[in-house]
Amino acid sequence: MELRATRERTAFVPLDPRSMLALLFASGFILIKRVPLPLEVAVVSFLALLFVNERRYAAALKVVVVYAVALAVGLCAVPLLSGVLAAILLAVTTCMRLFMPLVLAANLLIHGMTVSRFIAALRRMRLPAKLVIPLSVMFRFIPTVKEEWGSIRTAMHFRGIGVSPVRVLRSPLTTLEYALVPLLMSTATLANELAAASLSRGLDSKTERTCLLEVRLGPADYLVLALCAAFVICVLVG
Amino acid sequence: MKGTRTAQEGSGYSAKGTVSRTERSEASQSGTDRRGTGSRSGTSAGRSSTDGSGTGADRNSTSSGSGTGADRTSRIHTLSTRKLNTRDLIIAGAFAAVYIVVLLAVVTVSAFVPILYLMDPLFLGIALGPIFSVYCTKLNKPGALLVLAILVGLAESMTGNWIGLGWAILAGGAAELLARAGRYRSKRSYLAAYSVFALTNMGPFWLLVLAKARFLETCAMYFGSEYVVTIDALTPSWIVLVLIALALVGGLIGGALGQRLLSKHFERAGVV
Repeated sequence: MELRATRERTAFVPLDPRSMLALLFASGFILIKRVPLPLEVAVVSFLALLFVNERRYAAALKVVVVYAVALAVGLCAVPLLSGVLAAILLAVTTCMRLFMPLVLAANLLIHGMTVSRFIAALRRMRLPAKLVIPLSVMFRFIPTVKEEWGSIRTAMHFRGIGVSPVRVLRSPLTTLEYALVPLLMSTATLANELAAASLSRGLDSKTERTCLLEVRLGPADYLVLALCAAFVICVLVG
Repeated sequence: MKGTRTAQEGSGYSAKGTVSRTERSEASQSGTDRRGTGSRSGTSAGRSSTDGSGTGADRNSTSSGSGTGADRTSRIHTLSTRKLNTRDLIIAGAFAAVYIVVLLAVVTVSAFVPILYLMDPLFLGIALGPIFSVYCTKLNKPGALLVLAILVGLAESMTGNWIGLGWAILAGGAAELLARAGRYRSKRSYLAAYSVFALTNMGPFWLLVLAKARFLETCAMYFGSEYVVTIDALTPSWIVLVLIALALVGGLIGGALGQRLLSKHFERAGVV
């Protein structure tokens, strides 16, 4: 867990965490207004390119395939069908398509980040530490939560109390308890460990933090930021 | 210095959970929850020097105003020195991650059925209650609820809905005031605080009131026109009051559930 979260991916053109954050917030705008299909395709392909940039070829390929299938099913198969099945199919494929940019941007941010780099970048923006630290830890912790949840699910299945729709409907509160209690237990422990690790590296030192990595917006970052701004304006105006 | 801390006052409640077992052992304290005999000036002097840097040190300063000669100055001093330190902020981030993952999971599952989607404030209030309870038992300090509210609001506004952030900050601020009214120790005021905090769960629904056409258009985009007709029929303009009520009730149920789980599991295991 530690290894994956802290490993630096050597991207072709490394992007600043701030650009990633801008991408995340900008791609959310696709959810609030209908954008023309070519623009949507452009956004998804741009994000897929960023996966290639991070040398995550398999992930990029998966993105393209999933998006193409969703698009094809939504546009071609649904008009041929009718009734409930069509409605469900349309809902699922549209959701997949529209949430894709957000999920991709979040994925890029979360997998490309290290806490210290993120903190250094956000501190450059003069954001207060009280906000920067929890925000960075939150992004760092989301994959950990998913991982923990996977292990907890496995453990629950071993004991025959797996989370299934039937079980959720039949005894919702018990299922909630079974799921949340171990999750919170491990979160509490992991948070303490993460805090100890960060403090021992001097996160709460009173002196100004310096960073070995160069945290600076390069040309590529300005390009990404400009694209994000253009996209948001496009959505809000158009 | 540690000696002075052992003499601090512990209220009846703090035995229940505000000062945790692990923290106590970190500060190598012994026998905390005794009615205070030590001098208040001594404790506050010990605290002020450990402010900010100590891991578990300043978290233990749950001195109560209900003690013997509750002099105002030392209480104010206590509140101001119980700031969130870096360790707390890290823990806040970790719990916010769990909070948001569970939030997203519930919304994703329920969004496919209109009536369930509209019931989300209730479901979320219940599902997130245990997380909130553990969170504020671990971080019973001023500002902790506001930090969580801002993070939740930011996560909600990632879908392009920035009303959610403002609303979350409002709800978080109100929850903060309620928790403060109980001096960050009272279970009841935390329950009330959670009920108000759960209002953050209906933040996205403000679009229903403020921009219904846009909201419906968004829904049409996801789920097709039949879904929209259903949503439209289910949401007259007063629905927002129903949603607020649902959020508050969900908060009460979830908060109560959370506190039950807290005493059933977490306090016994010494996690919080």
